[in-house]
Amino acid sequence: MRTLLRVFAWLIIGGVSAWAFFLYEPEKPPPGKTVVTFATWGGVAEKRAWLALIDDFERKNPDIQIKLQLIPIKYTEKILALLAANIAPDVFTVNMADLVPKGVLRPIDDFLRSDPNFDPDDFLPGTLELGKWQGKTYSIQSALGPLVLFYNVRHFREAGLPTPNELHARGEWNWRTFLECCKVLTRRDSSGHVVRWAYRSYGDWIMWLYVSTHGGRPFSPDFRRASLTDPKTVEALQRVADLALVYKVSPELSPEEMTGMSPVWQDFKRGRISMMHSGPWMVARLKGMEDPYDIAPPPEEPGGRSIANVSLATGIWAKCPHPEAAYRWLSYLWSRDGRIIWSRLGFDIPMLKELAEHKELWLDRSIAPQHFDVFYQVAQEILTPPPSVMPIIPTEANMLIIRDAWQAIRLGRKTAGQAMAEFQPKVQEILDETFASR
Amino acid sequence: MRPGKEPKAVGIRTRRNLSRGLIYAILILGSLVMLVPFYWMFVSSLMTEAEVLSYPPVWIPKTWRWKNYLEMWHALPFTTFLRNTIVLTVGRMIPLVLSCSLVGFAFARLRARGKDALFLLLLATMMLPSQVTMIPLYIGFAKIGWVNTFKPLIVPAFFGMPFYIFMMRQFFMTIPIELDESARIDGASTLTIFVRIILPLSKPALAAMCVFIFMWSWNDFFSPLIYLHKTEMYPLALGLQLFRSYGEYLTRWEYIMAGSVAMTVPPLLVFFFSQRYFVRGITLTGLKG
Amino acid sequence: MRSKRPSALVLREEKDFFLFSSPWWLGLVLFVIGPMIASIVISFTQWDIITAPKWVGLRNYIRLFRDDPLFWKSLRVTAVYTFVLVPLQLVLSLLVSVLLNQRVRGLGLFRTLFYLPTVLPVVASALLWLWILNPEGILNFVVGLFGIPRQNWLTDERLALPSIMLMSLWGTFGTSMVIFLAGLQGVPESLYDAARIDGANWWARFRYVTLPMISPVVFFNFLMGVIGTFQVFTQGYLLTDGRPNNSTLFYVLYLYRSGFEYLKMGYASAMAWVLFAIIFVLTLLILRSSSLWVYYEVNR
Repeated sequence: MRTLLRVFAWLIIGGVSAWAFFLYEPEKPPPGKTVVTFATWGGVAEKRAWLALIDDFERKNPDIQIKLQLIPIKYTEKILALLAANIAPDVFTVNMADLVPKGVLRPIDDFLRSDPNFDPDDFLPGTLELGKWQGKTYSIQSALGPLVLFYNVRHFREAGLPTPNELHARGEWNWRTFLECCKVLTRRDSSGHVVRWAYRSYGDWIMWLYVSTHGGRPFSPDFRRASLTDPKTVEALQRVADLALVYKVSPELSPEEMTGMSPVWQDFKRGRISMMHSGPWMVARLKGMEDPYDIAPPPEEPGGRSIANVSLATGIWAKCPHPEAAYRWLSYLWSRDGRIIWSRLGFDIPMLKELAEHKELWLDRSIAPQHFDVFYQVAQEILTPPPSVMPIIPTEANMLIIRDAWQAIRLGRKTAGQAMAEFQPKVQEILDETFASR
Repeated sequence: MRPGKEPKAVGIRTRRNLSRGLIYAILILGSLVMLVPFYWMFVSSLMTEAEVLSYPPVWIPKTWRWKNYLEMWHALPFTTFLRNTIVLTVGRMIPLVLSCSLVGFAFARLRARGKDALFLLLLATMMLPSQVTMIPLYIGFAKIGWVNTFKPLIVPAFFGMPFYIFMMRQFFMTIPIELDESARIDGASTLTIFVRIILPLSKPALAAMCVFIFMWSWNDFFSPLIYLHKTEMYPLALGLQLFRSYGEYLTRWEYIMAGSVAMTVPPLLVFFFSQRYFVRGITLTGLKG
Repeated sequence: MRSKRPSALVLREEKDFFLFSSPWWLGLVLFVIGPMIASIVISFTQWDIITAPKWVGLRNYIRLFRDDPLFWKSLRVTAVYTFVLVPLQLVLSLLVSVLLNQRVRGLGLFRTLFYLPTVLPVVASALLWLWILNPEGILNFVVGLFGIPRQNWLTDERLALPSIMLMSLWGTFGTSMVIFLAGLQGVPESLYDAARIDGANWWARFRYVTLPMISPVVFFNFLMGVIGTFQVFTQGYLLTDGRPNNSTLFYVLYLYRSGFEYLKMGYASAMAWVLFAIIFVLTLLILRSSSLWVYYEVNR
């Protein structure tokens, strides 16, 4: 019996090991096809959309196969590791300030010139400028993700409040009225435990939105000089931190948020929070939400504007062995066909004039919020020169501000003024060093 | 203690019973503290989404939702992760067992000038923080194109690990040296002694080492984190972390706990079936400084 | 040593030694000494691997000590973590193993139960504790039973590090307990009998018999504990990523961040060498102090 058992155990161990070692399907590129690897970040919803896009592209370009590497977290870290090991993907998204100056991406001007399908006039004004660095084009921001305010319509109705859109129409939508709404929307149970928060910050990077909607100018337009103690910047940060610290209408930091993941939209979808800031990609995620929701421009102070994240650029690796094939994929991403598929699934708003004018070509009204056009209004504002964008600065400088300074403010450890003054010299030093090495 | 004849003995016995009771109370309380997280992990993995979200917590789910395991397993290529973990574990275990027992044997039973100094060096490398060599190793492996392959994780195993070498040496020291000497007089070569005499006597130690390596490799998070950047190559440790980082599953604790339970089952089984060797291995390295 | 030339037999054994130990010393050269030399060189440069390295001399070190508050902070966090956790763990596991050594019934069962958490993979354990320490998790529920208000275990600056300690204590306590138990079982019964005859009570027996007899084991585990704990990474990486306000920024986490997040390989290498120096000095100090409190039998 003992022996039998032992033999049995060894058979299992041997079998499992054999399965692990020998049953790998060998991965061979199909003959006559060029394999283009493509890395970007995103979750399950994005994966489905990318696969749809790849499907369409491969049907139209039978000689190319796209291999998708979707990285949901610590994206920059992974890309840096691959670049350092010289095995970067052929097409990928990077932080422009970090890596474009290091020559990691290949300029695509030569391709653009000889591409019969490319016409600069197809794009909304201001769009193409976003992908340029020192006169060369590395990327085309074919879609924009302007940040807006998402709100739960039921919560507003039940509280008897005018919606943000109504307030906006009356010209009364600003951070003061926002706070008034927050106070009414927060719900507590009999023991004082909050069962519903009025507002929750989407993630630490969204602090740039607070700064910008207050009209803060923490950097010079070319991002070479930091002036973090700019009064409007400081005011903005303190005001938002006080939502949790003083007014208790917004929760404090969560463990998820600290590790760079956002639990916010899940809570919004479940109706546990009433408002959040986010971008068009949320439309796909909020599909199937029970309560009706809508979008409105973010609350703004005089001189304030919303922003979009354009510090990330999708381009071709400088050492890509087959840039032509890579360019075909890249240009498909901003093409009419590609944009229609992508935007229909509810992720971005396309920057092609034709598609902006004819939303019926791609907009799925059944999943879109009522005031979907707000995305375009806000985008137009953002693109008005000079465009108002998230700072294009090196990751380290950005992390110092959004991780260290902003967190100290949110925890109430330092006032916004103190924290920004403390980090100003350090951030300027990083900027100086980055520009000196160019 | 045998029951005493003195009249005092009764008092002593009640006091003893009392302190016995206290000891058991502490031990039972302590083991409860140890067990509650385990229980919570297991129970959470069988809850519905609503039960997970409810507060105060639900201690016993209404129905046991085994489907969580299936749904979680299919949300990401967990079968691939499992396979990668097995490949890494077996792929490191076999060379490590070979190299470590060989080197441990050399240090325990062969005489050579400078051996003591070398042994000190071995102990010193046990204390060397791996971060000192991490960056040059990464760069080196990157230059020869090994990043994103299993090679940087498996190849170093052929060169042993100081901790296991130390463990094997400690064990080999306990085997009487006379066995070697008489074999040598009979003309046996060192290899023969190692293979024919020492190894057959060392099965418990080898088993202990295998168990240790299994646990370490199953657990290993840092080196795959640095060297593997493709989802299809992730071992379970990274896969589980990846799973959570998808926004869709971020707060689906029932799935995350199901994943944690699934990842814990194999080491748990190994532990239960090899407790004897395990304890032996721990004491072998922990007792003799 | 005899001045006689070594015999052929001895020479052959010596040759075999170097042959048999070759995996180790080859590995030593390839994976330890070589990289260490490279690491020194890299620590004098500014290098992102992508572009060419730039020689900066001692600048990384100077910057580390003079201009980097995060360096000091991470050092402080790690030191607090190590010197609270390791002693706590040793005392607790010693206590439990002494209790278990009282010929309790179900020794095997208790030992297994106490050891069980160490079997849990670190990632699984980190995720489990994230769930337990969640603001709406069971720890808040349990402390709520005692009337303590709800705490933000991982996001409160004062509580984050203790929370990680709690998790580590739970997860690693079993190992030292098993070792101590084995050590205790090796203490000859005759010593206790002699102490009893001299009228020693349980405390005196513990203080003058048990403790001296297992002090070498405690010492060895203290040393290894300090060395290992100083290199803590995974818990901080998974649970808090160094936050809030860098209150859980462990040294190695900061090192990893410098190297692999900001691609400052030179800086990270310099940090690695500082870590090496710290561990080296700590080891020497602990070894030196051992004569004060470690009892060795004469024949050792």
